[in-house]
Amino acid sequence: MRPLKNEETVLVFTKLKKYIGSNVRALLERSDGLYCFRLHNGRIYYVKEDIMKFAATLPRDNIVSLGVCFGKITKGGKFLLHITALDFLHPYCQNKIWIKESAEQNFMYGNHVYKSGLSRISENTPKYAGVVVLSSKDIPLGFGVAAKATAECRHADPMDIICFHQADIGEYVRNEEALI
Amino acid sequence: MADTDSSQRVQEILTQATEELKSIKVPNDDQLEYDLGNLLVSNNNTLDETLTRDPEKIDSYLHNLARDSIQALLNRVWELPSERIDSDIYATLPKPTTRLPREKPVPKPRPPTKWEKYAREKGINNRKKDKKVWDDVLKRWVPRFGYRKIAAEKEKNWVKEVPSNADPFEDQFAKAAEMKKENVAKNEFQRLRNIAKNKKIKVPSVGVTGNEYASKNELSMAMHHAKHATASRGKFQPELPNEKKVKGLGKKRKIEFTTGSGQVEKKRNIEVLEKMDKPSLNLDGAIHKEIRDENVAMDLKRKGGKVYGRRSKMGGRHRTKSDHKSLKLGTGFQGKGKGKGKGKGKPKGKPNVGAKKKIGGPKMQGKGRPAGKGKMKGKGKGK
Repeated sequence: MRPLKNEETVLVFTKLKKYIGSNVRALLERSDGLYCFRLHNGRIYYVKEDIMKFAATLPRDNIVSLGVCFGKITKGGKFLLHITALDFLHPYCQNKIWIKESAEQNFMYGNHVYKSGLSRISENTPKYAGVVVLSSKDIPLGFGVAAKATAECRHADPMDIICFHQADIGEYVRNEEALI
Repeated sequence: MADTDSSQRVQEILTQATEELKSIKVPNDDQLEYDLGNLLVSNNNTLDETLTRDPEKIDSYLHNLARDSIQALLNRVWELPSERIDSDIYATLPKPTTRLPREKPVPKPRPPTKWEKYAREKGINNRKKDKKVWDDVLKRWVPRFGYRKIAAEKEKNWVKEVPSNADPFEDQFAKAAEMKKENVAKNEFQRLRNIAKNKKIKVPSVGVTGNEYASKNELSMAMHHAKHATASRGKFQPELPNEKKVKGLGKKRKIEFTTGSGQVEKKRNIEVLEKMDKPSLNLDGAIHKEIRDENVAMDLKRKGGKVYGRRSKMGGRHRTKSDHKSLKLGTGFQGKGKGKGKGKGKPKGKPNVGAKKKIGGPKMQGKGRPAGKGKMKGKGKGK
């Protein structure tokens, strides 16, 4: 476990900014205490400082996880967000997609969102912006990348992909052993 | 019928599940000893000998025992006050009661100084010296050091002999004081050198501290520093044949502490964030470049020269054709006027048609140009 280097910090923040924009600052400046980012076994954790200090007393090999895992840094040097980060992306996200009830299951099995399943999309979503996918009852289901801008969606075919799947809460069941 | 079948099946599955899942209630959990601060539970009861002797049953017996104890421990932990942070539940543990062995290793003894090492090699033993010594001159016991030693010294050495080979006008007292000072400084240096050696700090071997037994590395380092102590930082220093570059002068990577100051880390993160928001533009540099380009353009316009898009790679000032001519004729180059007027009603070096009429105004630099296109020199005060 160690703090992020500046390059890693930039890597993480650029990815987070795609979803929550300038609200990244809100993750750093919290009223309920100090929070920090830590790298452990190639994964980025967002953790309260007190808890991190407790965890630092344990041998590195024995730590499985601490705080909330935001994602991992791949061997290729990219940062991938994990579904566990959804709790923090959802309240701050700027672009949202609501999907129909009939398409929820499809999305939760790890498929992209098609135009046919699209219920609503927030205004002025640019192409390739990070979006949080919500159910029709406003429950966050996961997140992805907008494949089309809001204006383009209107003229899309029913089978056109609107949002590329990145993570969904179905992973808590499908992928349980890999989630930390 | 189908309904009763399915309900039976459900009942079966439920009973099976309850059988598989063991109860969280542990019998005789009062007999265990708990130390919740360390999350430790210990069972002091004697083991069942018939089971422990049986190689087939011992594993499951011990496994069950351990499981029950941990279940009992966790039951106690759940009773503790807890709070919820980020959808995780954290229990506040009481103070540990079991004393654990120390976490850090026992501190190492102080490494021997250079003298101590030498003394051990030579087998020199420190004799315990008396605190007081007999002084033949004063006829009494005098402290070897410390309180009243200086006073005794002064009493004893009220007069000093001038050696036959010494300068008769030399102050022997001052000389003794100087010697003493140097001795103290030498001791201090040696003390610091011992500390530095133990902490593996590099002591500069360059300059005044000169080390006559300097190693090859130290000498090459000294040479490196000497070579680079020029105005151009050694850029134009000739290389010796087969000269090797000194190693270990690179920048070391700085690693942040895992549990360093959280505020500092937060500040660093916010700095990174702010840097990302800013466009990567050197604003100061861009402004200066713009001002300079404007100045050059204005200057050239005033002189009537051709405005070139790019500056000459040769550097130097911008000169018009007439400037070159005047240079040849020996009338000199008048330099750039200041392009940016600073206001306050003092137009600087602007082509002024009415300038002719002003008496006592700025000096005209006539260069055979048509009237009205004359130039004012730099700091003229146009009324």
